Amino acid sequence: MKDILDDLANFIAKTILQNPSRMIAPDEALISSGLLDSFHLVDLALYIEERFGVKIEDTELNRQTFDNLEQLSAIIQSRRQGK
Amino acid sequence: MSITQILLLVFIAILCGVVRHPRYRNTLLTLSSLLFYYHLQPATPIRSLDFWLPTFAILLGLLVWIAIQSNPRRGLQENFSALLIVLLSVIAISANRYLVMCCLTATRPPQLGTVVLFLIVFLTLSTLILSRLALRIRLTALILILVVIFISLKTPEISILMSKFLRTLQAQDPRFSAADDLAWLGISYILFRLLHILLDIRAGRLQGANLAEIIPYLFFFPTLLAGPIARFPQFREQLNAYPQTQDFIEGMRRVFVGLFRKFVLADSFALLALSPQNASQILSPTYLWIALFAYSLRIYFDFSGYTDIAIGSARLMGIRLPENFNAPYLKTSLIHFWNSWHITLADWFRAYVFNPLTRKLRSSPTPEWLTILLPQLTTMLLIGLWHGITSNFLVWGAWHGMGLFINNRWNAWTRTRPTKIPLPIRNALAWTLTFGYVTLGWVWFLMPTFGSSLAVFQKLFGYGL
Repeated sequence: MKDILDDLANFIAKTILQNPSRMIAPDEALISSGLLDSFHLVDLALYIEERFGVKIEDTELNRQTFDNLEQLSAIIQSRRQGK
Repeated sequence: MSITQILLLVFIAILCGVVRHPRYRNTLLTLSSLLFYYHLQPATPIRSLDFWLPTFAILLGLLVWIAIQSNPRRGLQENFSALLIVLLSVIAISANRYLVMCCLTATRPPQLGTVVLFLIVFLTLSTLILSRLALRIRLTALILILVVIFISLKTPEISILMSKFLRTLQAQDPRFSAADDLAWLGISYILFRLLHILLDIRAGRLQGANLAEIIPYLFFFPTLLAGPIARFPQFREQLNAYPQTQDFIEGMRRVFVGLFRKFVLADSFALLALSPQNASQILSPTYLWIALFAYSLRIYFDFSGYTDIAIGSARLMGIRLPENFNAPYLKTSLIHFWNSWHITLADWFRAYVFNPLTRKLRSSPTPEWLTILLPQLTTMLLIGLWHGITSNFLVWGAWHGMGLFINNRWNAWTRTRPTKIPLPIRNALAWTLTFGYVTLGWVWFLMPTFGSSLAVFQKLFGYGL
């Protein structure tokens, strides 16, 4: 779980926000805070699918499904285990 | 909704929260949702239409439930009691014609025999037709039917034609047909909930749904008037969640906040707000600006007030609805505004239009500016048209689509260019620009025609006086 969290935090800071020094806490709000916009979320989904081999649906890129890295990592982990 | 109706809503919500037995609670939830739906549907100039419109919405719900069954026989066995409750509710409301119980529907319901006959013929025919089609074809056909219904209701020219047809059917004069004859309460929300279920089942994201879950989801009484559009999986998970003391306190607080926003703030701003009626009478640009800002605040407090009441009453039953607003007028960019205004509708369009389109464009050799412009513009045009298929809503959508595109490009441009302007000043400028842009955009939204909107713009900037 920790490695997924770190990986995602790193991807968001470096590639999406283009600010490698930005720390993203596991419980930091990503969508409701406006940190990630709609394009960022699609990029994040594409990255997760390539990196972890699990599908994040278009209908899941919203705060009703996940709003922080902890929740997102839990989804990825449960899908990896379900494979 | 009047204060009395809201109090009734809160009372029934508390009652639903008190009932702990899952089956009784579900029955109470279904019955109150259906009764409320008939009760809130306003009268229309076409005879009995205030009964037929909710009935037709319920039948659409049943149709979708029939269509998604992979094994119809088993589906019917498992959902028999729920189906019985729904059909008996419709029949009981129609039978109200012969009782003294007033106020349940806006006008007297039609003949009981007609209703029963219609229900039998409709359900038999649709079951026969649907059972002959393969699952995927059934789902696609229903999606198309729902989209056609939506487009017909939202296009004034088609609405008038439908009104003419219905008036003729009821032996009423078709010459008096008008687009708002078919004022169908909450149908935009109900159709979008139905489309969500159909699209997700078709894509394999959703595995079946029971009638006892679908009906409360579609017609959940706190959300009939103004949403929010919850997602079905999250909603059904909570159907048996019971309220704790904390839910009750928070629910009541939200309801009071909603009442204050709607009946104190929104209704006060309404006294000053710009409207199609007063727009041509206001001559001073200063007063026109004041009226426009009053409209901007009114529409927010009105809509978010209703949302608070919906979220609060659902909480009284232990059900948590998704938030629909997150202080949109305090945001410092249009992107953040659209992240916080009518969130559940924007999320719906993101899920079924924006995300698939962006995904496709991202994985193809499309120029970057086009992968930004195309999804944003398409989504915003559709959100505009969701409110009504008229040139003004189209322009309003384009206004926001272009605004979002410029906002995105500006963000990309400034990301690598540090500025010396202090943050508070930057924020103040960005907020003024965002709030101003959104407020000016409301001109397209509130005026009925392109010409009348242009006249308001001219007057706002001191021309055409």
